[in-house]
Amino acid sequence: MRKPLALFAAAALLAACAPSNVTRTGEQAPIYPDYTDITIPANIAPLNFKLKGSATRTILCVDGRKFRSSRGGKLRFNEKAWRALMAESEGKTLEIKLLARGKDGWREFAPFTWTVSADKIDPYLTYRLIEPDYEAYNNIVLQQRCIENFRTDDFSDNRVIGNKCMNCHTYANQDPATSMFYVRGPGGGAILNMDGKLQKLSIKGEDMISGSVYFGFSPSARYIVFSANKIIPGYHAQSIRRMEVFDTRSDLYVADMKEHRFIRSSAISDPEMLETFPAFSPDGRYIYYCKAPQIDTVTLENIETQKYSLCRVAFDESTGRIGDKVETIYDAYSEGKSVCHPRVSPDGRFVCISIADYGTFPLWHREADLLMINLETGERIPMTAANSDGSESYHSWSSNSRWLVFASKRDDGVYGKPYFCHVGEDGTCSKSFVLPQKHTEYYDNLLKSFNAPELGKGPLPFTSFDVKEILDSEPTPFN
Amino acid sequence: MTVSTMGKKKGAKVSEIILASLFLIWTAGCFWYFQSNFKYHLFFVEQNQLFLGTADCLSAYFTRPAWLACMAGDWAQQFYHFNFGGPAVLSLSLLVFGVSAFLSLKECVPSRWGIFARLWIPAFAALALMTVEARLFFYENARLASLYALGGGIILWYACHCTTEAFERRRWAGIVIDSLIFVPMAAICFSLFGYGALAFIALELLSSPAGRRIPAGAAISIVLALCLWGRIGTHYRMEKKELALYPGVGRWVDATKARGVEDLLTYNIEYGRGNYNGIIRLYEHSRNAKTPEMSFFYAASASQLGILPDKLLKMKKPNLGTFIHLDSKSNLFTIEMAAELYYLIGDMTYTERACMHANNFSPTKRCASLIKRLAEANLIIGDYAGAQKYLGQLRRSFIYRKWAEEHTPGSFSEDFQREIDHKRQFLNNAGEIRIGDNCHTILTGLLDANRNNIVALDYLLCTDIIANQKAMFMRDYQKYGPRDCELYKKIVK
Repeated sequence: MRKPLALFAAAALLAACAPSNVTRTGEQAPIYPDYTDITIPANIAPLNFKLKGSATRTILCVDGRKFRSSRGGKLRFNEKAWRALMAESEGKTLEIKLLARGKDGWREFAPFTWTVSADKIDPYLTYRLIEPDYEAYNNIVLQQRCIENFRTDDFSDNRVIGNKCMNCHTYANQDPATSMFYVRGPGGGAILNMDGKLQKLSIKGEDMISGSVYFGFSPSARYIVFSANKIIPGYHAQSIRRMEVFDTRSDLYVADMKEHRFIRSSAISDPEMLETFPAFSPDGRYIYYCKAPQIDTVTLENIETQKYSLCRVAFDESTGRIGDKVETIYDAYSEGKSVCHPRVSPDGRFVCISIADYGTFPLWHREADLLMINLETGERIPMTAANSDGSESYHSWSSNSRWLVFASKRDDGVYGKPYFCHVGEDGTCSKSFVLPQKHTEYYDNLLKSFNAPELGKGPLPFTSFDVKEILDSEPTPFN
Repeated sequence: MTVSTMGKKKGAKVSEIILASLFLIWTAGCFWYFQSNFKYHLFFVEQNQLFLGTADCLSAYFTRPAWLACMAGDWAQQFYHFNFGGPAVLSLSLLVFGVSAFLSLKECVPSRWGIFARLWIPAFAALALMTVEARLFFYENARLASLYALGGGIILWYACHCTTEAFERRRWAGIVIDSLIFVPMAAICFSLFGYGALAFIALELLSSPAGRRIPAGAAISIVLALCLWGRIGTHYRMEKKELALYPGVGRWVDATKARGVEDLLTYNIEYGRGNYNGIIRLYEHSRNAKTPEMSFFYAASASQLGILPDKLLKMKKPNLGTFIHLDSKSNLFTIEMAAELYYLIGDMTYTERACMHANNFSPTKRCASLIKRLAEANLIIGDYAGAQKYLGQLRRSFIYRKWAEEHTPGSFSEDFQREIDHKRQFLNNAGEIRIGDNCHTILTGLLDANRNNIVALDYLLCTDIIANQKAMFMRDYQKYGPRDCELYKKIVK
């Protein structure tokens, strides 16, 4: 009895996919978020979207089969059905047809594709939700989102920890068992998560201009390399350019997390130069960072000529020794661009950087884009498909080196959102897509920026309450 | 029926009529009182939120306790926007609250006390509760959600009580059935009405002696709540203390202070409505003490009318807002004043910064007045993609849909088109970067970009005057002047 019914239902569905009197417009489906012609991981949450403009009914067909219909223009997928679709489509390219009924009857838009990659993406994403001017912190929260579904948890909420500013959270090797972030202000410190046990550290030497700002773990997580920066926020007179953040001083140091000591080297703390955005290579043999000459006086003209090069210096994880020779990978002055946030892929083959016209804060630079460099050949691989007219920055890798997440302001130019793109074996990228949300109006109504998104292999083993508790303790000092 | 029973019934009927009249008179009085004394308080509450009925915004309410009280309260607060809307919504809400409190308290008075005691004790208690709750609305950030939370807990208890009344007479069966119904209902009550669950449990305890019942359900609920409190806090990610009284019982503020705040809000809101002459009249003719905030709006209104220098010396303690520095400790009034000042002088970068900062003070993290200002600032600088974000939100709200349509590129209203053209002349398009929010730098930057920015010029020169910086005044006047104005001429002489 069930089989004929199922066949009848399937036949009815097939028929429903092609209502009568459909006008084929040939236009690209006007959907938000733009999920047309993208490559997605099989373990992504349902790509809910809405049709711009008015529609009384919408039908989505996958490879000629009706997969979902809705009254109105919002398409929200059943999670179970979505997971089944993804599981059966791994490694395939699906053809998606979208039909919408409006005042003039049914219209069919140009079909688009979803290529379901067999490369899985790390299932967790951490980020900081903050106002885009990064100044008001009385409503700041660090969150983790399971990107296989829509579950979101706060792991440090300043309403719980007591109105303190927090910096971004970073994993060691995308491993949720080892990670760190900073809580600023009185009673604050570096909050180190080691297997779910939290420690408060005071990673600031007396000779340093500030505590640690940007940092990265070594592969064994014994060391972190960090920058101490004197950061100045400035406001453009030209309102459309909004904000500029720059350093008047910055140096790099290595901290030994086991012996609680600092390792210093003039190679990465040149008083004449600004060194920032450090990151270890996945084999621990190099520290990658950005470097620029200091500016004499703070004028826009001087800031606009300040360009950061991508450099690296050798590091020996067994001895904790920093090399003397600085290698320049991307020379800012000959290239005419400024480099930020170098992140080496976990397989060690590529380094992804943000490039902007100048400076050290690409978030408000509309021209800021991502660029891939092949570390074996030195080849520059443009990421045209992933980039946009808005700013792209703060990227992070998935542990299998096949996915990147980054913050992009492409939609409204003001609020950053996490976008993903697939990275092929040769370093080429697919068109990027925004983190799917349960509700299609979520991004329209959100007045926060997603800052510094990072991919992780699992959920973090602590909560805001654990952070609050550890903040009451004395920090472990470093010498 | 005996004569005495008939007499009692008639007496009770008369009492009921008197009682109903009392409640209605109280409500009318409450409406009149708030309309005459605190209408700006209520309008201010509406301006500090933007209720969006979209699925994502509504679902956000479910992440906290008292979701129904908060959702209903925020929804009803939208009607504060209209003339008489605030006092009407508040007094009607208080009436419903009072009636439900009366009906519930009536169940707590033993029937042996007599019909009059059963009417008048709860009636006076309910009227007293209504008065206390109304008094909490003297606070400028009082939320209807707080009242609805308490009222919701009372109404739910009354509904439960009426349903379970039949079982309560059979002692052991009654205890079991009562507990089976009451304990889950207490949990539901907490989810729907937050701290209203305290009223729910309190009423159960209070009513037990009258009904000769053992309040087993209430006792079990209290024990369970105490045992599970930590877990509930973790679930909602809230501190235990905040959790117990969510969404807040309100704040008792001094009446004189509240009237002072109402005076200040009068300036703030009338300025937002463009009633500049009204503000000048109010400031000059009112005998009330003038706060720096009032002086700010007086100065801003004078500036809008082009008469700031003429009015500068009429302020005992002038406040132009040019010495404001925003940081994480700045309060909402200060940030809003800064936003108004930057918009007035024509600096949209700082307008946007102040508005984003101030939005954090809203319970829903979006203030209608600031979202409108953000949309305007983005439209003026020509960032239509940025503006659409804010216009979209306003379009999705019931109150501001029309405003959003009139401010959508391509369908600007005539007034806004004029304003936008005017403001665009004064944009500072110089390649400059400003560190901090020193107003002298901001004002001179604006004047370097456009010497015809009279508003900026007046603010610059008047700031020099009130800072007693004659040399600086002379320098600025020589560079950016002249300006035909008696005050400046006197100083220059």
